[in-house]
Amino acid sequence: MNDPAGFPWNALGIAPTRDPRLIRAAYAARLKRMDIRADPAAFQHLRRAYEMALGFGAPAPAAAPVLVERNELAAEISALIAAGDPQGAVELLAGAAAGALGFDDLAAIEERLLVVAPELPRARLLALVRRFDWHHATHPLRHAHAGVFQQLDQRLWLEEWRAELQRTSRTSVAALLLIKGAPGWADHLFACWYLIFGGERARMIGWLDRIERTPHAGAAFDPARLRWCRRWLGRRRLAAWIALGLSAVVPVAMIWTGEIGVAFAAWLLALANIGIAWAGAMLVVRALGRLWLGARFVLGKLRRRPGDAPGFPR
Amino acid sequence: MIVAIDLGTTNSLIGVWRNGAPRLIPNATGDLLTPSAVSMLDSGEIVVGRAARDRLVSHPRRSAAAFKRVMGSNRSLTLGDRDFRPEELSALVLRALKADAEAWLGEPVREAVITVPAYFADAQRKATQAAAELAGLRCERLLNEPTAAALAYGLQENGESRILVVDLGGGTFDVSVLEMFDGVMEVRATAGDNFLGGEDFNQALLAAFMREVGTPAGLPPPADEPPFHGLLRRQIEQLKQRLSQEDTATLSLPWRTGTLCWTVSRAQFNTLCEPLYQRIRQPIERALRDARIHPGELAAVVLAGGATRMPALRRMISLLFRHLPTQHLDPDQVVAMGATVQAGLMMRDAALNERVLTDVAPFTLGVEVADRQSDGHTVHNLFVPVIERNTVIPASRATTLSTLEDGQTTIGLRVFQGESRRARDNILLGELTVHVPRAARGQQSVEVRFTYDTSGLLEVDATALGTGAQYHLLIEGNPGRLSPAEIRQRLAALAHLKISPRDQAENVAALARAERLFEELLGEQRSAVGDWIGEFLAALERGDPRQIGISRALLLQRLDRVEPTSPFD
Repeated sequence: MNDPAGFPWNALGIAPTRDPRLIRAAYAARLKRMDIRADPAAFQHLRRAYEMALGFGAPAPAAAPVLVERNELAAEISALIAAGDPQGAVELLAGAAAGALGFDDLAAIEERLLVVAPELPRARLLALVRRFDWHHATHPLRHAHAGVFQQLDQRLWLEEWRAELQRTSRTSVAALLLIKGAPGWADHLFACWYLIFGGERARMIGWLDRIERTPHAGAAFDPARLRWCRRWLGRRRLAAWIALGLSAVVPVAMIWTGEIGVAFAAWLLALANIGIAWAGAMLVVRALGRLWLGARFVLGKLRRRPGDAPGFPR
Repeated sequence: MIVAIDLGTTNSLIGVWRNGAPRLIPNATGDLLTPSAVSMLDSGEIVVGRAARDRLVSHPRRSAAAFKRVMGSNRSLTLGDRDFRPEELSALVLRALKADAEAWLGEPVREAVITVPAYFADAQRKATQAAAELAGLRCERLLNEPTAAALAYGLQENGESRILVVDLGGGTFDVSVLEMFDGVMEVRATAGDNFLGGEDFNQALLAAFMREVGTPAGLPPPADEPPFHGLLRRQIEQLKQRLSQEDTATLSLPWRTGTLCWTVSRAQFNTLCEPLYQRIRQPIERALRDARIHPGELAAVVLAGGATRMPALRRMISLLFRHLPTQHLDPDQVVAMGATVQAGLMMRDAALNERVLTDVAPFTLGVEVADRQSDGHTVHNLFVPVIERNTVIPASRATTLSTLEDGQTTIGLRVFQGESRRARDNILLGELTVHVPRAARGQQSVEVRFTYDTSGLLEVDATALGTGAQYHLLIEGNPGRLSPAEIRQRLAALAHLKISPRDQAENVAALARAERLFEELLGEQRSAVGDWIGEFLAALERGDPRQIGISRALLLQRLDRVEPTSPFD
């Protein structure tokens, strides 16, 4: 009975079948022989088997029976879209949704939504989706029309992300990189520079994570570009050390050669690499901070008299 | 013997499964319906039922009704000089019903199946159980009301069919979708509204009356003068019932020297109640969506609950489903009849051998979590469902939660009930703190298991996976919930209460009705009623049972003659 390989059919005591009648009859027969209150675990086992068997046996979604009204609605909406009036189509849909009693009517409207979705302003689409309460309340409906929902959902999410990316001023450059790529060599160089030294690194990584976790992101973002961005983001620390080294070497060379041209070049370099200088400076500051803390710790230990508060400020 | 009790907002019934059929038990005054009202006589004795309902008009400060609406909360109601919790008042009603059943059956009654609105939350269910305990009954099972109604109808069905039950009672509204096959009655989905019922329609009428007639005429607002408004409420109720029969109805209320008249047409009434009809539609939609059943697949739409007598409601339902709703059983009795079927099932009655019933959880149950986004932000107060609504019960589901911070040593579990994504918009059921060893974030986790039994009561168990320590959530100590110790204490307090003896019930009821009429009537009729009361009291004084019987019959006969006509009473 507990052989996992034969589940759910062994729990129901029948051969694998797609006929819901057989499955129900087997379930009913077993249910009548058990005491649900006395043995809830056995009931739960049977119930799981039953639900799973029915899921296996569910017929492939047949073409929905065509209703006249629905066709009319669809035709009207198509006509409105063809006439370049997506707003009107949405009004019509919203009206139909308010009057519909769920189920097939709603499902038909969803299909229509997919047709009009690309034409719609994002805010409008979101409002309409909220009308259906897709976010939480209608799980069963979502199961029934998983395909439709997934497509719309993914698209909405991506739309929202793109908008958010472009809205955030400090990551706008990164957003451009992610969405459009960097076409020319000069742009490419700038992109590398930005990814290594630009601000908001954590947020960039966050965006990359989110996009990569979304199955449909490929449609809106090029996976190769995502990988490229991640690679350059990862090189930042290394680059910072190099920059620190450079900023130390250049003044030395300037003093050594005494040439004004070299000095000017070094100044230009420093200006161009404020990011480098900043990252390098931060490393130095952090190292100094650690040293100072260590010193405080040692000194504090040595100097401590009885009665002093233990420890030191962190 | 397991009895079945429909503990309603306005009326309660008791029944048993006997000789293969449901059988409802009449109360001491010979009615099947016992009004869910409690009143304290001037002598300190407690009366329940029709007498108490009549005393709502004559002694509103010593009487209470509709306390089912505050079940599971901390509100207490004052009768005379004593405070009662809603559980205690319900227990008094249950106790009266139990006495009726014992008198009828001739044997003591210990166990009961009690119906509750499907949408009753955990606290309200536990309060109902506590009420049963206070009444000296062991509540074998809490049965959802629409499920009970469906049982009463489903018993006559044998093939495969799907039905939808709309149960609009005095105070609660429930919808259930049921599927029947091979003797299995399976609830597919349940939805509802705990604060929608016939009472709300009365409130709408009352508010309109006060707005249009009452306030201009200088009537005090409802809270100020309970005795007067007890009378007004009764008039409003009758007005509503008349509107179910006729196109227009008139309310006339004696006020100061004259009479206030208010004529309402059915259309006006429907406009007033439009927002309420809208609230009825939503749960119906949701139940059907959850059940994944198209309205066209339904074999029948069944109406239960007294408020479904309203023609506008029935018209709305038929418009929605495009066929007429079924109502060949009395809507007031159908829930109790279904409950007796459940009692029969539990007694393993031979006539019900081939029947099984499965029910669902009406709400989503889950825990609150915080989630760290990939960009480092932490989002708090998210609700993670563990048992989704409309899962077949009994159900047991588990989920695993992990620590969010480095070095975290406790995980606070807060158990919620509801559908909102944000935990704070749901109802908090209880809290539990689990201790875990100090470790890096995400390294320690807790398995939380929710177990939901057939009565709709929840148990939560947590296991710290790092240490194997077990925790059990006791959903107690919440406001509005009685602990076992408190129940014992209240039981002792109730034992001291004098209950009006059952053999006096008919006399008390007759007297209360006469007193109510005395307040309602005017002029000659009023003084006549006063005289009759005097005669009856004199007969009671003499104490000869035969004489009292004759006198009571005479009184009731006379009262029937002066009772303002209402097509229902």
